[in-house]
Amino acid sequence: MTDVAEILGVKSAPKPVGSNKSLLPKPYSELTGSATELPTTVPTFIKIGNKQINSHKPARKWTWAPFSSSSRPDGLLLNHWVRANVEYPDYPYARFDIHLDPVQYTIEEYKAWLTSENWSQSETDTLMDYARIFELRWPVIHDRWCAACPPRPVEDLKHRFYTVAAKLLQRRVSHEAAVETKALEAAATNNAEDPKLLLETAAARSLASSDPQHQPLMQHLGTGTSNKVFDLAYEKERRAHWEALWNRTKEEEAEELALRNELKQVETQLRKLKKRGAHVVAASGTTASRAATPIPAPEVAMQQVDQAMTTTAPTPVPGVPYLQSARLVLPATGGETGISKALVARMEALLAGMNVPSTVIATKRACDLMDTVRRDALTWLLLQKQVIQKEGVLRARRLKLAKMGGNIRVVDEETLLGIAPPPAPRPKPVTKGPAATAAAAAPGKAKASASKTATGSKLAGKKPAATASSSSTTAASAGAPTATTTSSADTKTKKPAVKRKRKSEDAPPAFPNTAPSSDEAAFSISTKPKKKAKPSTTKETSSVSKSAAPKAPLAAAPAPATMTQKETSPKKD
Amino acid sequence: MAAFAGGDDIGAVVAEIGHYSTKIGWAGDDAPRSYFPSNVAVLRQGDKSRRIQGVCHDFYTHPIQRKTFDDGNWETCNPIDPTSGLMYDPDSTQGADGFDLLRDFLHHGYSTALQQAKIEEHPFLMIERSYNTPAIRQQTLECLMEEMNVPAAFIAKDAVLMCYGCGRTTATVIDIGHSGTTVTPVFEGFAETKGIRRSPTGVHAMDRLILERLDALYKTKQPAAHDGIRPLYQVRPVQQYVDPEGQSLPRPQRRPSIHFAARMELARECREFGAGAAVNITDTAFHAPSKSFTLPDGTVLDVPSVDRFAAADLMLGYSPATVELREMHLEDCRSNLKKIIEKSQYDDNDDDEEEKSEKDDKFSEEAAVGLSKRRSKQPATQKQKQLSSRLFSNRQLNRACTKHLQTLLDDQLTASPLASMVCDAAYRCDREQQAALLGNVVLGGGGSCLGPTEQAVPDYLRDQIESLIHAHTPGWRVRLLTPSLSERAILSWLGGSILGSLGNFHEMWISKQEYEEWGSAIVNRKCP
Repeated sequence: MTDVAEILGVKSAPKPVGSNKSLLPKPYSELTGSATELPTTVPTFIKIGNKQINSHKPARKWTWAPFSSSSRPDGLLLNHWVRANVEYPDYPYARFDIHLDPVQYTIEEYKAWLTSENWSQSETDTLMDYARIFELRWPVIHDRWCAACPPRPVEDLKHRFYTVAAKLLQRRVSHEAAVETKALEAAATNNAEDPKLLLETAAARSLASSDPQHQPLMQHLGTGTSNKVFDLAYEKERRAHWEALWNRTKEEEAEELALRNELKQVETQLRKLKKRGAHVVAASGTTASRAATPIPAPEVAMQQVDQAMTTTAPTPVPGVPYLQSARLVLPATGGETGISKALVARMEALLAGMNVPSTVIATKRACDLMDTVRRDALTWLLLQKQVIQKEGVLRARRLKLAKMGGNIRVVDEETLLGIAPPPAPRPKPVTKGPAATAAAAAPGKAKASASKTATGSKLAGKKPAATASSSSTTAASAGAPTATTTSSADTKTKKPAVKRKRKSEDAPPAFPNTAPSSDEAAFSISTKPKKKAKPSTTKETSSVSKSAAPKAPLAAAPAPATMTQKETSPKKD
Repeated sequence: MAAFAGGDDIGAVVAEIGHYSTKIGWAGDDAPRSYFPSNVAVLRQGDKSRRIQGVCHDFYTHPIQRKTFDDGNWETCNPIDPTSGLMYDPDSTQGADGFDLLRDFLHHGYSTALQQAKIEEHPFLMIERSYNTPAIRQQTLECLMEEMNVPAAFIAKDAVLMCYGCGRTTATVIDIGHSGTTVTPVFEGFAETKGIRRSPTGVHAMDRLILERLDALYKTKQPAAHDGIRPLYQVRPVQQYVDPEGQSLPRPQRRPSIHFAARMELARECREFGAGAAVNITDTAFHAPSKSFTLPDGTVLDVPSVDRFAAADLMLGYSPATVELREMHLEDCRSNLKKIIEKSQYDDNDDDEEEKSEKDDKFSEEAAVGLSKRRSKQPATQKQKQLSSRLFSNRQLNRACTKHLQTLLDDQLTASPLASMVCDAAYRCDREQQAALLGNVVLGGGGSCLGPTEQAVPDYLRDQIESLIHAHTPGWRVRLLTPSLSERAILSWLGGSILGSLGNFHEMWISKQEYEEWGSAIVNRKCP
C-alpha cells in the first residue's frame, strides 16, 4: 500500500489504529521478545456445530450426579452427567415411559361376567399378563403362549382378550350408571322440581339398562379396544383363505395364471370390439334388459334414415348452382330427425372396414353411389340393432315362461314377442340399387354386398378375403397415374390402411387440390382416368384393371364438370 | 455412538461372553474396551470339588507362569458349553465353571480395560443367546446380583441387539458364531422362540476343517511329522524354559486340550490373516491362485484355493461333501446333547425329595415363563444368600434346563445350509410377519467376516435366499443388512451399547431392590 502511495506521489496513509503491536501489553512483549509478538494462536471463538463458544468464558460445570426417574417405582438411583446447579423436576426421559393400561379384574368380576367354557381363569390371567408385557404384539404373545400353555390359534387369543376387555368395559359402565341412577333418584325425591336432575337421572337409567350391544362405542383407553367384539369367524376364515393361498400347488398356480391370461385376452378383445362399435353384436346376451324400451318397427327405422339423409343433402333449387361435393356431408346427428352419433360412428367404422373411402371425388355418379352405400349401411345397422333387441325380448320371455313352470316350447316366437309375422317382402328403401335391397333383405349378407358396391363391383367374382388385398394392389398400381388426385398434404382420414399405402407411394403432389381426397378415393375412381389413359400410352395394363374394365359399369359414366383436375391427370403421366 | 438422539450415558457396562471371545465395554462406545478369548487355561484344585484355582487369559501368546503353578496341569476351560452354546456346565458333579469364569472374566475386564471401575457402581447389561433357557438366565442374574453386587442389571438377547445394531426392530438375524450358527426371527424387539434355527456348524467347525487341511499339507512338506502342524510353544527354543536358579528344564508336556487349543489358534490365524478363507464368487475355484501361510516353525505352506473356499462352503454350500460334513457335526452335537439330557434325568432320580421341592420353587415353570407372582417371604440376610449361591447345585440347573435342551435337540438343530435356515426360520412365524422378516435379514457374528470382499458373504446369501423364496413367493425382496467387516463380529455388543445408552431404557433395569423383592424369576418377566 505504501509503495503504491509513493509511486503515485500521494501522502502515505496513517497507520491503522489497531495494529498487533499496540494490542499487546508492552511489558509482555518486551519479556517475550520479537518472535512472540504475534497474537496468540488460541482462537477466541470455538465453533462446535452451529454454536460459537467463547473460550474466554469459563466452561460450564457438569457433575456426575445421581438421579431417579418417576417411571421407576423402586426409586433406583443411577448416575449421569448433568449441568451443575440445574434442578430437574424429573428425569427427562420419564415421559416416554408409556404403557398400555392393563386389563384387570377381580375374582368376583371374573365369576360374574367373564366365565367361559373354553377358558379357565388361570389361562385368562396368563393371557392378560402377556398382553400387558408384550403390549399387544400378537405374534410374540402367541409364541410365548405356545411355550407356556397348551397351544391355541392366535385368533382365539385375540378373541378372548378383546371380548374380556369389551365386556369389562361395558359392565363397568352400566354398573357405574346404575349406581349413579340410584344416587340421582334419591336426590330427585328430595327436590323433584329440578329438570336438569331429572334429565340426568333418565340418561343414567337408560345407560344402565340398555343392552350392551347398543351402548355407544367407547374406546378402552390404551388397548385400542372398543365394545365392538373381535370378529372371530371372519378372522378364522381369513386365515383359512390365506393358508389355502399359501398351500397351493405348482399346478394350481399355473392354472390360475393361465386363466388370468385368458381373461386378459378376452378383455382386450372386448375392448377392441367396443372401439369398433361391434360390442352390441358381441354382447347380445345383455340386451334383455333393454326389452323394456319400445322397439320401433323396421319401417320406422328406414324412415329415420331417409329423414336423416335428406336433412343434410342440399335440395336442388332451379337457377342456383350447388356443389356435388355437398352431398357427401355426413348425415345429420341428434335432434328430432337425426340419428345418433354413435350410429354414424359405427357406420363409418363399417364402411372403413370394407375399405369404402370416406371422401370421393364428387362426381354425380360417385355421390349417388356414396349415398346409396351409406343408406344401406345405416339401414343395416338399425335393423341389426332391432334384431338383437327382439332376440333379447324373446329370451326374456322364454325365461319368464320357464320360471312360471311351463317348459312348453311349442309357442311360436312371434306370438311370444307379440308381433305379427313380418310381411314377406319388406318394403324397399327409397334407394335404388340391387345392393340396398339385398342389405335390407338379409343383414348377414350386407357386408358382402356393401363391399361389392365399394369395390365398384368389378371384383364381384372374387372372394371377400381377396377383395381387400386386390383392392390395395389396385390402388397401388393406380397410384402412379392418378397421383394428381391425391394430395398427401391435406388428407383428413386417419385410417391405418391409408397410412400404409401412403408410405408405398411417394408420388409428388403435383397439383394443389382443393377437394379433400385420399388414396382410396383415387382407387375408386381410378378406373376412369385409366380408361381414358389406356388408349394413350400407359404401361398400367395391370391384370386387375384389365379384368375389371369390362365388368365395371360405373366406368362408363362421364365425369362431371366439377372435377376438372381429372382431365389433367393423364396428361401428366 | 454417543450422539444418538435420546441417549443418556449412565456409565453402564455391556458385556458379552461368547464361545470364542468376551467383550466388555462402556455403553455408548463404538467398540468394547476389553476383548479377550473366552478359552482360558485354568488350574483346578486337586480335591474332588475340582474348583478353579487359577486362570490364565492369554496362554496362546504368553507362556504359562511356571513359578506359581505346575505347568503340566493346566487345561483349557470355556464358560460356554460348545454343544448347547449356553453358559452351562453339563458335568453336574462339579461346580458350574461358567459362573465361576463369569466372575473372573468380569474382574479381568474391569481391571484391565475399564479404568479399574468398580463392579458395584455400574449398571450391567449382559448379552445372552437368544435360545438361552430361563433357568440359566435366572442363575446369571443371581450370580450378578449376589456375587458381583451390581446395582442394576439387564439381560438382553443377542439377536435383538444385532437388530438394534443395524437399526431395525424386525428382522431375521443370522449369527455365525464360534460354537454354531443361529438364525432368529425378531419381531418388534422380541425374539420369536418358535422360529429359532441352530446349526452346530460354526467357526469352530471351519477352523477344524482348516486344521485338517493344514495337517495334510504339512505332511507333504515334512513326511516325518506325524502329529500335524506344531504350535508356537513346541517350537520355542528350549532355553526359555529355565527355572529361577538358571537350570534349564525339559520341555513341559501340555495337556491335550491345551495342545489342541494352540493348534486351533494356528488354524484361526490361517483363516483370518494367512490364507484367508473366502467365499468363491468367481466360479473358478481351480484357477484362483493359492496363498502361502508360514507356520511357527518356518515351514511355508501353499494353501490351494480349493481348501480356502471349502471352509466358507462348510456354512453356505449345497455340495454333497459339505452337506455330509454338516450332517456329521449335527450327529456329534445330537449325541452329546442326548448324553447331557440322559445324565440330568439320571440326576433327577438321584436327588432327595427335599432338594427337589426347593428346586421347583426356584426354577418353577411359572417362573420360567415370566409369570411368577411370588414375592420372597422375607429378605434373606446377605450371608445366607451368599451361602445359597455358592452352594447352588449344578444339578438343579441342569434339571431345569432339560426341557429346553430337549426342544433344542428335537426342534431347533438342523444341518441345512444357511439360506435354507433363514427361510425356514421365517416360515415358522406367522404368515403376516414373513414378508417383513425376509425383507430384513441381519448378518453378524465373527464367521460372517469372510472374504474376499466385504460384500461377498451378504451378496452370496441374498442370492441364495432369493432363489429359495422366489420359488414360492416371486414378488418378495430380500435385503441383507450388515455392518462393515470390522463391526460384524461385535454387532451384538454394538446393539447392547446402543441400548444401554438410551435414555428411555433406564426404566427397564432390574434393580437390586426389585431382585430382592421378586427373586431371580423377575428376569423372565422384565427381560422377556
